[in-house]
Amino acid sequence: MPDTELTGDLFLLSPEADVRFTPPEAKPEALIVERIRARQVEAFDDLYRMFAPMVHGIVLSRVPREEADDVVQEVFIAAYKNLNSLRDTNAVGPWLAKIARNFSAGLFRGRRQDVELTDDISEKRRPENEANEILAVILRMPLTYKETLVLRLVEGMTGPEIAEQTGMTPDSVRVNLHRGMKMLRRELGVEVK
Amino acid sequence: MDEYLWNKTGSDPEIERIEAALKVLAYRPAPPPELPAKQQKVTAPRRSFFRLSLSFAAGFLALVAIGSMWLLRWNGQHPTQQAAVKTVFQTPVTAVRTETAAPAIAVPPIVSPVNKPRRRATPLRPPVSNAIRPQTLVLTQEEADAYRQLMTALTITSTNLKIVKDKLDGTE
Repeated sequence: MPDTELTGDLFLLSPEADVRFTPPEAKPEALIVERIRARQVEAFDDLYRMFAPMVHGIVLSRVPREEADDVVQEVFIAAYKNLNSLRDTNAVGPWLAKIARNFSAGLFRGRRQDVELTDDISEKRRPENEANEILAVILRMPLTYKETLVLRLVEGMTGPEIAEQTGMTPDSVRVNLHRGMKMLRRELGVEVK
Repeated sequence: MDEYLWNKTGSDPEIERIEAALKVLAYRPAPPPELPAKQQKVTAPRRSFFRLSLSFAAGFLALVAIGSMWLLRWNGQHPTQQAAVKTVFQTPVTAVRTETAAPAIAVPPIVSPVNKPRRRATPLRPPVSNAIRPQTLVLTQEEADAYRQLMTALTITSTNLKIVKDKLDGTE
């Protein structure tokens, strides 16, 4: 084993060797987090633009549509306040997703009955447009399916993007999409090919 | 069909129709939120050291609590044990069990594996009847104060741990 493998990139013992210790490659979002930590507050805008659709999708699958935008803003403020608790800056996406899930669950835990009541009313009145009708069907699905479906069908993210940003495994995302879509087709009365 | 659902390659008219219908619900770019006026100190995490310290503190307090509970519940069966307990607790006079004082601790003889006797069916310490077990423990003022301090310390530690947990979860 060359000495440099023991000394990392310091090259204390064998400066001529070309074996270097390579730290894990920092993702773009990790660099953004480092800029925010360096008091560059404008970097927070980049973080917001990068992850707002994902956070919006997660929130939309848990809270009423008209309150989703406000909750997204609250999630990012909470993230900014707690940025020092983020250990792995490469995992800022899954960290934000977790905050969004916890925030939505905590915010609307006491209003579960209201949400169910809204669903009942929407069924009786029939939604005014097709989007609300399809969303209502999605929101009646199990949580794992509806979150993935909202990210894919509403926010327009691809499966790999969902896995990358939320921290789920690609296999989990693929299964959720497949089963959720099958359930959605059945609920909407569309023939499964 | 699955490939379009997965990574938007190819086409699936039905999914495309659903996507088009749901597009109105998608995130609409909006300005980022106003950050708190008083910018908090955002630094690299020192979580590991903090967590380690908390773990040690919690473990130590748990050990103290368990030890205290054990001492509170322990009734010495052997005169030497009673003497040890006597230094900690002042039990009522009626609780001194002279009639049940066990003999000196019997050291089992060293036997070869071949002649190893079967495990004793009866316990070494006979069960203590309720008649001789003290129903209440009388603590001295000093011990009562120590007990209260211990409970207060545990309460404070529990509260601090919950605050830390909430911060780590990002719910605070």
